[in-house]
Amino acid sequence: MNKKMWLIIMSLLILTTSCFSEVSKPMSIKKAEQLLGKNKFDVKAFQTGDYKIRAKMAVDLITSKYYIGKPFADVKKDLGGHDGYFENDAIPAYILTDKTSKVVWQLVFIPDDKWEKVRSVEIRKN
Amino acid sequence: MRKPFFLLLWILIFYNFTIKPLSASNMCEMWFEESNIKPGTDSCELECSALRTGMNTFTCTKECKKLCTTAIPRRKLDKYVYFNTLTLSEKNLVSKYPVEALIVYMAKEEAIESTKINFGINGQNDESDAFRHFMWAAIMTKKLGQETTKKFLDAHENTPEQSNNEKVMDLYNNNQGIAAALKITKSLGFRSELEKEGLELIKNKKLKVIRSSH
Repeated sequence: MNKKMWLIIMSLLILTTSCFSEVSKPMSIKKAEQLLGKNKFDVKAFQTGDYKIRAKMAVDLITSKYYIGKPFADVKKDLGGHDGYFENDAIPAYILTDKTSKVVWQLVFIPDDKWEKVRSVEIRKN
Repeated sequence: MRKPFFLLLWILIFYNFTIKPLSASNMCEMWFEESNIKPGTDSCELECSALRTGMNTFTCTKECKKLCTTAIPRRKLDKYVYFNTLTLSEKNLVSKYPVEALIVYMAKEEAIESTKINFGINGQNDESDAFRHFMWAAIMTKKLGQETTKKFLDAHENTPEQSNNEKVMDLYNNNQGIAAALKITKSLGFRSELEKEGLELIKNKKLKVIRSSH
C-alpha cells in the first residue's frame, strides 16, 4: 500500500472520530459555575423564568442530582416546554445563554436506554 | 479495487461503534449496569440472579458471577455519540442498516449546521425546528432514497415523549423535505438550492410551526 493510500485512510479515520467526538463535550461544572453562576434550583422559578434565571440554577440542578433516576416524563411536567434541541425533539433542552450569541449553551436531560428515567443532566452546545 | 476497500473500512469503523456494543455480552452488561447493583458486594450475585430479564437478556443471569466480579467498561459508543438519545426503533435500524445510519447521522449534522447558520439556534416547535426537519429529510432523500429515508424519519419520531401536535408538525415538514429533494434534480449546489426552497416555504408559511418565534 502506498503513502497516498495511508494518508487517505488516516484522514478518513480522523474525520470519523472527530465527527463522533463533536457532540461529546459537555461544559464542565467548574466552567459552568464561572460562566452561569450558582443559585439554588427551584422548580417554579425555572419554569417561569427566562434563560438568565434558568442559567443560574443549572449548576445546582446538576450537582444536586435532583432529576437523576426520576421518570423522564417528569422533566417536561415540572419545567414546562423546552426551547432548545439536542439529538431528538423529545429530549428536553433548555436554552441557558443569549440566543443571538455565537455559542449557545443549553441544559439537556439524557434518558436511560428505555427512555423511562433521567440518566444524566448536562450543559451542551445548542 | 478502491471502492470495496473503503466500503469495508467504513463497515469496520461503524461495526466498532454500533453493532459491537449491542452484542450479546454487551446486552448483559447494559442490563446489569441499569440495575444499579454494585459489583464486588456480597449480595451482588444473589441480587443479579433475581433480576428481571427480557427477550434479549434472558440468558444474562448465567453471567452474574462474571458481571459481579469484573468492572464494566463504559460502552464504546457512549464515549462518542449519545446512543441513549436514539429511540428504540432507531437503535434497531442502526443495527440493521449500519452504513445507511452513518449517512443519516451525517445528514442530521448537516441539517443542524444549516439551521444554525440560517436561524442562529436550533429551537423547538418554531421555524428553526421546521427548517431542520425539512433539511434533514431532504438531504437524506438525496443520499438514501425516499423509502429508507422514511424508515429512519418515522423511527426518529417513535417516542411517547412527544405530543401529537409536535409529531404532526415534524412529519409534515419531513414530507415537505422529501418532496423538495425529489424536485431538485441537480447535484451541484443542491444544499444551497434546498436552503433557498426551505426559507421560501418558511416565509410563505408553507412549513408547519406550533409557536412562531417572530
